[in-house]
Amino acid sequence: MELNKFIDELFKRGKEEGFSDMEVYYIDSDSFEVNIYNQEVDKYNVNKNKGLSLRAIYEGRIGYAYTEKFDEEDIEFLIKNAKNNALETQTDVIPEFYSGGQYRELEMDINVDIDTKKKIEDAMYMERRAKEYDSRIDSVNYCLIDTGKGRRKIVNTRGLNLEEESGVSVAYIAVVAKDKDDVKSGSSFKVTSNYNNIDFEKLVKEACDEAINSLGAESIPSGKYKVILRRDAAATLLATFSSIFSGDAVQKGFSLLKGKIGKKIASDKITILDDPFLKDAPSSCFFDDEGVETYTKEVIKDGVLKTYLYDIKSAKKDGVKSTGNGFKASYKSPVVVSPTNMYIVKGTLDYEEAIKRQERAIIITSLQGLHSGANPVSGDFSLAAEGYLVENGSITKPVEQITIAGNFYKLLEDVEEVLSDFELALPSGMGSYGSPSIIIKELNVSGK
Amino acid sequence: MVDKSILQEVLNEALKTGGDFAEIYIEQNDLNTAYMSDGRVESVLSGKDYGAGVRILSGFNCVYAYTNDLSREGLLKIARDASYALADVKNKESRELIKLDYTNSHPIVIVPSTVDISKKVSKVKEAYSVAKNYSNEIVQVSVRYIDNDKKVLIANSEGLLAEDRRIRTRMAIEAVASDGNENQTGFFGPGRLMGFEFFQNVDIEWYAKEAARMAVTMLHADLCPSGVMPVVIDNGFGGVIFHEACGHSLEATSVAKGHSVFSGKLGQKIASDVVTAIDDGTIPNAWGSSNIDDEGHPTQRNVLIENGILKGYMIDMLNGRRMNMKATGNSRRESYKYAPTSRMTNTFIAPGDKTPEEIIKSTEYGLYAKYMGGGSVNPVTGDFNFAVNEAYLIKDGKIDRPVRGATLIGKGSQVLLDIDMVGNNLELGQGMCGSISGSVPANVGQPMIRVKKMTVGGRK
Repeated sequence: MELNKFIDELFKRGKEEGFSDMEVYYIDSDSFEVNIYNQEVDKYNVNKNKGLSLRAIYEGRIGYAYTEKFDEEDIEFLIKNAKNNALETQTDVIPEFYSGGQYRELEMDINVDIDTKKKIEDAMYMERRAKEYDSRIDSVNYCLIDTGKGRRKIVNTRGLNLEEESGVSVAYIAVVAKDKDDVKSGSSFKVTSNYNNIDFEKLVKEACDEAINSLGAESIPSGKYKVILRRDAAATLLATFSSIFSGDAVQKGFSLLKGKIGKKIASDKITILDDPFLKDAPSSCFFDDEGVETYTKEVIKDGVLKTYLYDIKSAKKDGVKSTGNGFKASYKSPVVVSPTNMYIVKGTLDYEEAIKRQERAIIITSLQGLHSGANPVSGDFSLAAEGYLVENGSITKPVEQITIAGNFYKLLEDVEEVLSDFELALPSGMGSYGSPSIIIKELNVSGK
Repeated sequence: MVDKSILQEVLNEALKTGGDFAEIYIEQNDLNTAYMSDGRVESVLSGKDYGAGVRILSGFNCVYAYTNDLSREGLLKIARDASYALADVKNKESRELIKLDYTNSHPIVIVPSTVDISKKVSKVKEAYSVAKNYSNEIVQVSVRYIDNDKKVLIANSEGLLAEDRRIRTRMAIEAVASDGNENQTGFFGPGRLMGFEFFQNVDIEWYAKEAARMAVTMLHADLCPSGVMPVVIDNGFGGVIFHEACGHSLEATSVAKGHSVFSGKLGQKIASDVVTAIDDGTIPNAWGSSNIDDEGHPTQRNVLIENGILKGYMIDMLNGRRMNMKATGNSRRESYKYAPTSRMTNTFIAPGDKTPEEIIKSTEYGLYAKYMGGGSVNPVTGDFNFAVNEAYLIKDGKIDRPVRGATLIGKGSQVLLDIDMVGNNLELGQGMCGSISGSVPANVGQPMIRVKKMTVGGRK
């Protein structure tokens, strides 16, 4: 069935069934991916996907159902399940759908309609350049280009009818460097709305340098170290702990930030933004998945907590307005609170200069096990890490097989310096995260 | 789900441009979830996934396309879209499809769609109140219920036609203990390849209590010390160490291109003599089992390591071509949105002869990891890490005080050689394993083991 007809029919049947309000969330996407291995097309994917979910209010409660099929019988499936599911939910706030607001225009520079041949040639070029880069580059284990286009649509019985187009291109390369028995990996990526922004040469250099520079890495003695958390590692740590700023998490005690609005929770140097209008970021959007207008906000300003992030429901509980942060992981998921593009605002000190000023410190370039070794509820983390040792103002050796451990709430207070080398990291979950490198007074390092 | 003659037509269309093998995978998945936290059932959701993926192989190259449009035209279109990627014209014909016959090894007693959602939600509420009422220090609980009923059909140009129905049920319970300043959590997520009879077979009340007890215990625990020490890892989900540290590196996905530390080591000693490890996708109604894999091959019991010697890998068809070895029934995918590749099913270290008491008693000082959290590995370097959810120090052969915030790191090739004791109490633990073909249900498992030295990362 044609989409608009399907929605009309669904709303008509829903009204007959006694729903007070209904909202449809619809996604369709077209994507392409090519993987190159040894100058051949190793994998080639072309995909088309669409899905629709219904949120419907029945007797003051919300029920969810979704489908990937758009036939007459699927309307009945959605209605029946949304109704049964609504009856099983319990709520302390009366649910409400949004009827619309003042939407700001989002300027996006989308360009993903690139000839397939060109994408394959670019990926081959990337692999070839990596193999030529240095004799110690043993193989390229991933080399891929991915482009996708999508449409997101929200229609409800309160008069809302919003639509947004999106486009994203990803280039990724991972290499293996070998020196006798020593094997190290390195990778680099670019995520952008405009394919022409990808600098393949830069990706090759970053991935190869990372692998080569970590050859010969060793563990270091356990102890307390000053830490320069490089921008990408800092961004992944922020992503892991971003849920502590969710109003819903605060209300449920999953965050320790209850009652901390207006209070100092971080070093003066820290300002964190949630910015849905960041250009060239895949998570930018002008309305959230409940149709609420998005806007740029300071979450932390000079160390002081300014706001939590809210969807409609958690906002209602706190008697405030939604901050436009109600998102779904996909059409299969319920709405939860999520940042859009969340990042630490950069400072003025240069990365190279910062290294020169350290007598003894470690630079952490990557963190592993974030889904298990970091706990947003307690703030505790203990994570496998890699990086470099800095002694008397310069890098002396690569470091591996260590863990760094601490507590995120404490880490925010212990930030001594925020550097000037800002970058957005690979999107994580529903949002994107970014950070400049940050210097932390002290973290516990476990090594040999 | 789709007429045999249409399948045949789609496979022929896919082979028109020089592919030497074509496969179609069709899936319908019915899903129900319920989530409760903060004293309320917050969301109940039902859904239907419906799609097909066409895969074409030409030598070592793989083309994949998927769609939600299961009409004849929709399927022919993706076959054509995919075949455009291959330039030749050879026009190979698909063989006649012959239905694979097998006996279902995983009988389902109560199909989830026959059970009212209210009954499922009442199980969620029961688990919630057991965990919440465990102690005054439990300030928050969240419980998630999931069931899914997945029907798959696989047909390929070699004449294979196979169908499977996989019904899984899982409960995930998280408890938060707090003293006002600090929070600690406890978690369990039992699951089976079962319908609603899951609740007759699995004692959810025990898991709910255990999650709460873990949170409270950790709230009163000291910070874990850092350093290199012997580590005793208990049974069940403790098997995540083998899964992360070695299992991923034994998947053909990383072995075939020579990227794994275990590439080319068949017949060589890669682990200590006490280690035998198995991947078994046939265990009746186990979380990671199925009758056939997602290429339509029956699942198998594969010995990976026997008394320390590397015996086999987990192999899918495409990587099998590169390795010149047969597929082992390990090809899996999250859904029609992914081309299948070699993945673990139920992977475990086989039981040894030591009792858990003997192992603890013979350890003078070290860490006892009672419950493990998740972890990850870099399959190229073998560097792994995982979190310990509940840990204790061992002093003078006895379990001493609890410690929190421990992470274990190491290299897969080394840790296998450092396992010096294996207990007799094998158990499996359930998880979702993420890799290039998506997130699939997998069992990890082991009896209690001791690793003679590991780097423990703590905050002290």
